Amino acid sequence: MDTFEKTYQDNYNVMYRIAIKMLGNGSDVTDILQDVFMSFFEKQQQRKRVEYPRSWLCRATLNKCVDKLRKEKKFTDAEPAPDTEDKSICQEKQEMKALMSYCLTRLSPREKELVILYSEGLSYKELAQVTGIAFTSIGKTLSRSLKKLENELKTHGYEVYK
Amino acid sequence: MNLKPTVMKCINEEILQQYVDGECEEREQIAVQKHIENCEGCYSRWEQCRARMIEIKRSLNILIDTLPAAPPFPVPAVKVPKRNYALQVIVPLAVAASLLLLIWLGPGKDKNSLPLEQVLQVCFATEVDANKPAHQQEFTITVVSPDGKVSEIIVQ
Ligand SMILES: [Zn+2]
Repeated sequence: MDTFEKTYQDNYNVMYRIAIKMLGNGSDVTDILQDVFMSFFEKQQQRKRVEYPRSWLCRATLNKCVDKLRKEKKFTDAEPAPDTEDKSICQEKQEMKALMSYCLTRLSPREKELVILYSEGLSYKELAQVTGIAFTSIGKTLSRSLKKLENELKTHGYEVYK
Repeated sequence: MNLKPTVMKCINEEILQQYVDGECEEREQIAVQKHIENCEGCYSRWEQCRARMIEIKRSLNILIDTLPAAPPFPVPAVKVPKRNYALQVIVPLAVAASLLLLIWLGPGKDKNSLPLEQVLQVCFATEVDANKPAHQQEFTITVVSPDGKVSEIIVQ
């Protein structure tokens, strides 16, 4: 079994990226990550076996993000789609980020998690472990979720292919 | 799966997705590849699926500006372990009992060994190390015989 420090160093960045993708750019995810790794640390202290540490950490990070979104009520209250017309170039990237975050909220919570984890390069096996979707259904669910996101992005004027 | 490469039907979205993600079994992957090479429709769907995969991953990554280095993890101060009755009392008692039994029945019995009643003091000290499982805990057992000889035995 890897030491805690190794698990921490190996996974911090991925968890950081997942949390940012879940919460949107500009969110402070430091506390979330500290909580997640603290839970993992305590689990190790109690000698509770975690078979797949990365999957466990992903799940814990997603849960913390969902909690935070709930508290901020972003989870239920749909935001209006950001207006993307007539923007200066320097604003463009921020607009794209806002639009991407918005389009992610148009997916179901499960689809959103799946797509975010997928974008972090998790294997189908890991995706199944973290999301609870049957391994044999990952391909189908993924295909549907990616198309849905692509459509949302196109509908809102996001230039997916450029 | 009954895939015959030469007569494979057009590929459904699920298999196509698995193929693009490198998640097909080898046999299936070969079959899909063969089919794509010979079917214009599926070739074009494969191109689309692949482009979608790449672009969605790329687009999602615009949400990440910079990656901070992992801050040092604030390792919590070692908590004073709760008094663990099993570890602090029962286990040492059991160890001491077996030890006394050993002394009593031991090979030295017929020589100069002392009868059990004369082993006056048996002390055991334990300090539970919270980072170690029960079977790795250490016990120190001090046996003082009536003639004042002190033996210290560390049991691991
Ligand atoms: Zn075909």
